[in-house]
Amino acid sequence: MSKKNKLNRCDFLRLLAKSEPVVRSYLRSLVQDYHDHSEIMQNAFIIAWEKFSQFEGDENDFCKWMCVIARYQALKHRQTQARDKWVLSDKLVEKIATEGVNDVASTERWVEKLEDCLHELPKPNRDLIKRAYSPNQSIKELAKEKETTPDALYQKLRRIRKALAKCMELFPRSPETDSKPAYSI
Amino acid sequence: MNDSDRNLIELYLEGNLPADKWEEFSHRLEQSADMRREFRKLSVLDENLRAQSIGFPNLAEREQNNTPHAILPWMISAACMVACFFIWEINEKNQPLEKATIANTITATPSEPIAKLIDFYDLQFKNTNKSPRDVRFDQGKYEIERGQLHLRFDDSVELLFSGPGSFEILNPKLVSVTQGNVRTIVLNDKGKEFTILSPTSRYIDWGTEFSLNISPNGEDLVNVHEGAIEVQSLFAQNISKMLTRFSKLTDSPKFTPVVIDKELENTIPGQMGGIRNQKLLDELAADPDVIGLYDFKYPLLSKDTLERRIPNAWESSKANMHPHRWVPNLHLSNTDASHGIFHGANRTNGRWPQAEGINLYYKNAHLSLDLNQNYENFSFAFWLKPIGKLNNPLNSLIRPYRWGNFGNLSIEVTRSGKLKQFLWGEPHIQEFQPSKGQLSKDWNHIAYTFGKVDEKTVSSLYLNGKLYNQVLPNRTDSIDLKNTIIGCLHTKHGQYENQFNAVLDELVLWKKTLTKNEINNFYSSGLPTYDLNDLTLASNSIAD
Repeated sequence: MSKKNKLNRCDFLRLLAKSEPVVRSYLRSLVQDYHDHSEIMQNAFIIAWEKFSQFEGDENDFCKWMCVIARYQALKHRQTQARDKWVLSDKLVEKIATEGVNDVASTERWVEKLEDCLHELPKPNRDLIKRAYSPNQSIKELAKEKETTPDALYQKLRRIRKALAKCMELFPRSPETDSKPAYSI
Repeated sequence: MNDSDRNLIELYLEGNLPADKWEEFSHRLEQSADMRREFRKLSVLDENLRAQSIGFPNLAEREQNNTPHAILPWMISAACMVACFFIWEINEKNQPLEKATIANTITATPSEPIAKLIDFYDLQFKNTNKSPRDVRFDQGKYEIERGQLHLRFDDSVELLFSGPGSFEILNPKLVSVTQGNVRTIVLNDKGKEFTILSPTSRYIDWGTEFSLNISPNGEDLVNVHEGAIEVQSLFAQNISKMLTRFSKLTDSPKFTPVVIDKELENTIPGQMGGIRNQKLLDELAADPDVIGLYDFKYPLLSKDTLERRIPNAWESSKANMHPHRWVPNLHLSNTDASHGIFHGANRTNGRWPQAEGINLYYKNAHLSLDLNQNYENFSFAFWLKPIGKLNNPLNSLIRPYRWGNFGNLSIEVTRSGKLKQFLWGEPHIQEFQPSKGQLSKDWNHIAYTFGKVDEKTVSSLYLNGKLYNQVLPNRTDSIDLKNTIIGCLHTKHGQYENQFNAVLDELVLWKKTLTKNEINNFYSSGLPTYDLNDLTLASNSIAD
């Protein structure tokens, strides 16, 4: 049943807060450039705000609806950009975008699970990956600080990411399994 | 999915994919649904690690520092704002009532709170009966069921809030409002950049005065009264628009749901006191001991009705009298006192924003009114603000047209601003009038009482709630102010002299002798909590 009449602007803000990490993550798979990513997110939010009165689904559909808007904005943005040799083809991006919209539930689950996974990461690894993703942090400098080579550091980071990615696929843990780590690296 | 595909994705997301691997990566991604799924997952991981490492900054800190992180994505700030709003709503439902509605001090400071309470009217916090006087306005959330509140931040910004609604003090320069009417006035340069956050927009005050209406549907109405404000969207980075008092509806920012509404007029300083005082006047209008009540507003009665109670001095001129010269007696039932008529005066601002007084400034300016009998017990009170100089040795404040009977009362002001009372046939009283202070340049409350106290007839004068002087008449047993003139004296040759220049407001006459306490209470209840003279707007020096 349509809940159009029951959702107001306050609901929009609440739903936006809930779905924003998912939409942001979804968009990341379509757009690699951070500046473009920001601009598209911005446009997507403004359009969603303007079109919210037309949103006819229930609250569970909001995230998907936002992803559809973000997808359209991402594809539209690509049309305005100069074609680069090292850019995924329109057809491929379209494919990823469609699959992403159809599988929003996975994205939601990954986002939700990532927080737990990070907590389960050994502290040195957690600190390392946070440092590596810190603004203005160059891998070269971090490697020097850690007395290692950039390549070795990249390898280490990949291993950590791989472990996290594996953890993100796990189902929520039951109390029985809660006493031991879900994964190790 | 094999490790080779995963490595390609990792390299791509790192930005390290070699040119010779690009085709392979693109091809594999197109062919393999598993790889695309992994690609989406690693994108989620990459994006969220980046967001986490930046951290969702504390809103207040971010605003205080005002230095956005170099690569802080705009959406994180938007998400933070929205999340704060969301968490706020959740907390409201989960916290104990007291904590949910009136935030306790988060950053306890032993000295001054972040905001000082200046005034309030009919204020009710949600789910608690706590008086605003008992609340320390520090960092935290305040939910208001009804009423109005006036706060001052850092002696530089006035914030007036009307409920229902809620706001959160984040720091001395930042207040978040979820719902409600807000008026903000920057008093001096220190207050510039004071910011109001609505659920969708940020309003930066650049030394000005503006009104905001923030409604739950997310659309804000704004009206700039003086100077300029900057509006920014919380959903869009680096987009802002300056609005001034000249901005029209068509200038409403397109990037954020803000609509300019030139009609929007929220509470202004002093208005709460004005409402409180109006309530007092309404009570006096029904008080059986009151015989005259004058607020000096433009008369709403018809001319015919007004003419029936015209003072004698103007009886012969009533046909040509313009209604604006009438000052109606507003008492609901007692007709002892006539309506007033002013001459050579004009209406001007009264003590309160919506109030009017009469300005006895021009030569011969005065107010006439009649009482239809003598009173053994009598009192009157009014507010006055002197204007110009006191030119005469004695300047006549109130007296009868004809000075020649027992019971005639005159109150005069000396050149230095001291008050004196005279009763006809009682020359001795002039000897016993000590001078306790004098009229100030601001609003002064003057009250007079006559009647028996412990079997002695006492004539007393009060200034600003305190007894000024008191005399014991020998022969006067009642007050005779049948034909009264206020603002000057009328000689037997028909001339007006001893002009007293002042603005008058809220004149009340009683047929009883008010006590000291009654006078003091009356003075205090009509006193503004907020001194209007405090206001010195910085709007002339906006946005350097």
